[in-house]
Amino acid sequence: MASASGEVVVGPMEICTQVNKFLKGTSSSGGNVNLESLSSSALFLLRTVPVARHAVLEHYSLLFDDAINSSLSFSDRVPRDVRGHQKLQLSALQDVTGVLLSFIKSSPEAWAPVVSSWTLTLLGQLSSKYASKRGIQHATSLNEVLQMWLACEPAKMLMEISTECFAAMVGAAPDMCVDTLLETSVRYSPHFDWVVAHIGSCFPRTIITRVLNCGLKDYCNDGGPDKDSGPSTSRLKVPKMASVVGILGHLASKHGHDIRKALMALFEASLHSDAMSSKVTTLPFLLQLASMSDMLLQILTTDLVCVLTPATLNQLHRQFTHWKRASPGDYNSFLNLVVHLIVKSKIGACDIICFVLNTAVPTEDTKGELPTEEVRETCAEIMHILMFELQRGVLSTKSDLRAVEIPLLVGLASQTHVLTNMLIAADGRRLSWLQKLLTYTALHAGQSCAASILASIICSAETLKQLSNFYKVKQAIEVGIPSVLQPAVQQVFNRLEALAASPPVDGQEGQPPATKVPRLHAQASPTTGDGVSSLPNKPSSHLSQLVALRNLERITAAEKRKIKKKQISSSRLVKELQKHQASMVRFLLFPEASVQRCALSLVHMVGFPASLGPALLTELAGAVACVYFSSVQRKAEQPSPRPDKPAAPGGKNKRKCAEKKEPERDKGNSASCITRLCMCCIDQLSSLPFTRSLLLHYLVEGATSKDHCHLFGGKWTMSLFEPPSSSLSSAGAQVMVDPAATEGSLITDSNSLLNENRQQGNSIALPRFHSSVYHGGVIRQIVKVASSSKSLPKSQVSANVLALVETLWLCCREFPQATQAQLPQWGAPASGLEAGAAPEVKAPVMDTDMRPKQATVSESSARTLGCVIVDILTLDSLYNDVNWQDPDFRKVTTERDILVWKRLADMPFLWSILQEFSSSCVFLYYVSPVLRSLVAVVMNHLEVSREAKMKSCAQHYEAAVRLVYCLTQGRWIPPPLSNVSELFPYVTPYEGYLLLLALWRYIKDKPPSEFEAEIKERTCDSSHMLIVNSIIHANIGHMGHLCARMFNM
Amino acid sequence: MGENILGRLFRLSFPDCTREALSFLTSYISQDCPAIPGLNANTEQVIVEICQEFVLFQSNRGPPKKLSSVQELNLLDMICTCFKEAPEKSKYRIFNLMFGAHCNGSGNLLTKLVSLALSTRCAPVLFCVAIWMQERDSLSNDVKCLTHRLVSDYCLLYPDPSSVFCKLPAVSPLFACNFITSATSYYSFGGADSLPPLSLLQHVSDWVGQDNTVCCESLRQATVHHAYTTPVPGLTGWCVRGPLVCSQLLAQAKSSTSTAGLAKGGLDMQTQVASLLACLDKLHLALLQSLVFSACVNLSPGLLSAGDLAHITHTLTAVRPLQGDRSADSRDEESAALGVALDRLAQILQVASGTRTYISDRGKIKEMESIARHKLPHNRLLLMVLKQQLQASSSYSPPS
Repeated sequence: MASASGEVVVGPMEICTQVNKFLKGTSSSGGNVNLESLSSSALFLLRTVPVARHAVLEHYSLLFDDAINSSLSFSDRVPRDVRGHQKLQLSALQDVTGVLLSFIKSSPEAWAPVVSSWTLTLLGQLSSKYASKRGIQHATSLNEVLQMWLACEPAKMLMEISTECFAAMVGAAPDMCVDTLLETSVRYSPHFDWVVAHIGSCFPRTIITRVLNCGLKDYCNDGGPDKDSGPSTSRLKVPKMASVVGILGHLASKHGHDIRKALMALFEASLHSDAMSSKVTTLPFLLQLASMSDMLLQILTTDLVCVLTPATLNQLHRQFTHWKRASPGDYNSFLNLVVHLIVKSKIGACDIICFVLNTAVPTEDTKGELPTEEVRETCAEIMHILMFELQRGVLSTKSDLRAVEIPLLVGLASQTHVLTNMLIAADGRRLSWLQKLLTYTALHAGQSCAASILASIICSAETLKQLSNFYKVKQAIEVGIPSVLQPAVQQVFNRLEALAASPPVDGQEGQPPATKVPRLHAQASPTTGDGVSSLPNKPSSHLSQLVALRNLERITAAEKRKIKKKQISSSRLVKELQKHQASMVRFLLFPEASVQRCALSLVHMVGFPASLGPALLTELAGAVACVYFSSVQRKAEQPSPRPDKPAAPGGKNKRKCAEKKEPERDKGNSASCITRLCMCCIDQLSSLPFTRSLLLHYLVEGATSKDHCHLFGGKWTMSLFEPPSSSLSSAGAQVMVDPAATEGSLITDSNSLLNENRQQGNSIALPRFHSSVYHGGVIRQIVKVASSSKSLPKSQVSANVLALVETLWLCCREFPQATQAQLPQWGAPASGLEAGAAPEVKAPVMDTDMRPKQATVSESSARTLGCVIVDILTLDSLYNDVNWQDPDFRKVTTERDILVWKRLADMPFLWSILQEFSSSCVFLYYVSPVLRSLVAVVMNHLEVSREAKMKSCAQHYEAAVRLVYCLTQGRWIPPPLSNVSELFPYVTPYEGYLLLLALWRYIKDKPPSEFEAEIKERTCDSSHMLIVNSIIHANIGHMGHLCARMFNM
Repeated sequence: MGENILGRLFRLSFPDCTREALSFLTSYISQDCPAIPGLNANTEQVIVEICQEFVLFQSNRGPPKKLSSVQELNLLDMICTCFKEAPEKSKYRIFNLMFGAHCNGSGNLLTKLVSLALSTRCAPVLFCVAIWMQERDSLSNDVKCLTHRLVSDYCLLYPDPSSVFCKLPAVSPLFACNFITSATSYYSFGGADSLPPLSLLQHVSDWVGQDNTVCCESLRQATVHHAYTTPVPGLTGWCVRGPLVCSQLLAQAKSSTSTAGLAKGGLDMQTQVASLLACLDKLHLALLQSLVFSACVNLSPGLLSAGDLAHITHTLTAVRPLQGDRSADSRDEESAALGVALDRLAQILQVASGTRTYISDRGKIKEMESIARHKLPHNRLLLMVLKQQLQASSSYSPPS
């Protein structure tokens, strides 16, 4: 190949012949010149005849076209001759490429523009010409197209040349070459895109900046927002913008960062530029760009929003004021464009909304410069338009039934928690906007999102005002998604459970001080066993759970109120909540009183339909009982100066009390409130037979348990209630024992003197002296157990007892008509409490006339209660025969009797229960063994007592009076005989013994019966009155006034 | 026949129709424009139309036909051939028919034609163009535009010296002369933005040095064509302003290299300036020789005028930068360059006046003297020459 300087020797004749040869070769007619010589003459002309360069380049365009055609057509199977031809072609092309490259290198200023425009045009033509060729048409992505073309040798050469040209020109005249590139791109779009992409990736930074600048310049010249841009100019404007967008789009994947920087630099420059036009046009230009490409939109939404501080906005406002006044139409379309872009932005949607909201209505804690009034108004306007657009979008989606995706709402759907938090904190205009926004998001995203929005509101609203958002949003959402409530409730509970399941932060070692969580017996409520122990101790989770529960409670209360006012027939919410009773049980057993209270109130309001299933109901019963005792205990722990109102004045008042709970933070009050709610629940639960009997079990067993008995004035004596041969009854008594406490008791057990004595007794057969029989123990070996550590004021004890009895009564009462419609109106039939109850407590109880008079103790409850009490008080069931044997038989059962006596002495409140329910003959029938034992003990004592008066043996005297009262109530002893208790103050102990003996004999003759009718018919014949008569006679001096009570006169 | 030939040509396709048209035009003009049989008085109009339609392709009927580059090359080739083959007397008439009247549209084609003619050494075309240039005045815009295109074709595209340009005076001295004139006016050498390309300067200095008649060619034609311009004033301007502008460029290059460290660019600049200066030296000598030569051949004076020299003196003051913010080093260099410039001016003036090849004007000489005295640094030679001129003119003037 001759070098460029080789032309010196070339004569004019040579040139002429070469020109002629070239012309001959290229002319359509004379195609005789072979390719090689034609090519050589073309190269010759290119090197020596400047004026022929265009012609030569044109010739080579054809050649390139041909070569690309053949290389695309026969890339696989090529005939030999064609391959030879192809080779020749390629080598010719390679030659010209080499020459051109050397030209560009030696004098870039002269050659680069010429060659660059030639290659670009040629590439454009060829790529659009062969766009539908095999292989290319199937390539969908730009990358594939690029690969496709670069695999084609001639195209690669062209690309190499144009890249080289660019490299040569970019330094000197970048604007020009980018302009050329853009124009070509516009003309041959979209087939030309791969060229731009390739060149762009070679000079990313320059291309990006320049392309943006060119686009901006074009935009300015074509009018921008300044002029009235008619339809024709805007049509012209679009393709250039489109090619700008297209190029940036190609470069985005690899050079996104550069694009980002370039865009921001453009914006910054517009802020600080002096030229009015660029100030006003840059932002619309950027927005226009963004509207044409999602990628650019994303960049703008993420970066621009960060840059637009209030100060910047104010400045922009100043810049745009004039323009806005000048062309209001353009301004409106600009606003619409902004709204359109907001609607389109998916990523960063939340940031944008936050930005607009914060600008429209700045929050108080905004620092620095505030946006001016006009800026705020503008943002508000944008918000309004946006709301309108969204509404239209969402509603049209609904009507069409086809999913038109609104990217903004899609983006927001993943960020609803942020929006919800904003909503909670919002007020004024923000509030309504956010409500609408959330509603549209929910409607758009569907049920689960809607549910999570509602759930979030429930979980985070702290005031009633904030909670009111729930109603508004819910109402709006239910228009589109009627069944949203069910998943919403589900989500609330999911979150609550997630909170509960989250591991405690402070680890295992520190047992929280307030873990007085009573643990249910495994038999009683199998499922709660583990749940209770794994309750979290995080204060934060407590708080959030509390918030959610309280909100649920409020909502439910409102629903209930509506039901009551007959505004709605049934509440869907309540029905939904019923499905989640199981979860609520967990919260019942929460150590936090407030959480407990809320859960309890909810459980109460939701109610206990039989559809809940026995397992759940059992669990509920157990939990309610637990809560009941824990609340009583908490109340006892309060240093409450006035434990007033232990008994409820009435059902309605009680509910009011529950509702206005929030303001009063008094723990004692809250505890009593919980107690009352428990009673309501118990009342409701006891409408079912099996829960009723369960509750009776739990209540009585709980009251007699080690942990709670002191609340009711009882005391726990280890030896009495836990005999070494632990029987069934003792297991029953142990129901509610804290595991830790049980463990502790075992430790003391091992050191107990009793055990040691027993061992000693078993060990060696020593002579039985006093000292050898009784081992006094080692002094100061263990600390003496403080027995009376838990003692409560008497008034509180009696209040508690009263409440317990009241609660039991709730379980036992039965209405002849079974009218459950009357909601919890209960009261204690405390008419027989003279002996046990403190006088000051009596007064309010007596006033409770509101309880239905017709209420009676149901038979089944009475049976259960009786059995439970017998279970607790007696050693075993060996001699627990209902019928009373011969009085002398009591000598056999002395030990058992004494045990009953002692136990009853430890648990004095059982007396109250006995007395309370003695009116039921069924109850009395079942507690008959206990009564018998008690009578036996009293008789044994009186028989041998040396006191002058029976009254002097105070305990036994009192017990005798109570026993007679009970027997009378249950009509076991008919009237004349039943009045013997009036004689007791005047008789000697032995006479008292005789009187009791008479009663015993009567009962033995007329054995106890379950059937009231049978008992009612019983009369007392005179044989049983003989002893009574003789005693009256013997003491007629001071008993004369009582003759009328004993004799028919 | 006129209608006939038009109709026939319209039926032909490109290369043939033009070939036909050209041969027709040649034969027609060669026969001293006979009346075409069967045609009315406006034969002139038909001829013009044929030329418009089939040579220049600027159709008045319908849209103008756009030729591809290869076709255009073919067209140019055909025109060249046509000029070669046409009889001597009718060449310029044909040329004038094509490019004489209307330059705006056909300028582009003319440029290409000249370019091809240069390549193929087609003397007839070059001669016609030279006449055309002279008629148009070599300083006019059309001609300058043509010159610029030619320079970029032959001096810029290929950095190596072009054989075409080397032999140009031999092929067409008149064209070379007028080309130099318009080149000196297009590239005035008045600053960094109007530097002539190095290869152009080399070519010009070669031409003038090798053939002292080149500068006189247009003056020689002045007897035929009334208007003429000579390259001498422009070349004088190059020789005088050159050293000063080059020293300034060097100073700039130095300061830019010292600040930005662009050693390579600075070096390039230095070598370029050095070769420019060498060319200018050569050119200056050639110019003086040309002046002497023109006296020998007894041409009427007119290569140079006192007005031209006064103008050059003016431009020298304008080119001279403000004193002040310069280093002493560069100031020394510059004053040396200025000395060279003034010396050259004085020499040219002296030689021109000695050979009486310049048109004297006492007023202009006085003007020059005042400038040289007050605005320029002292140059003894120049002042002496000027004084002598003044005395001479005063001694001559009373009789004249």
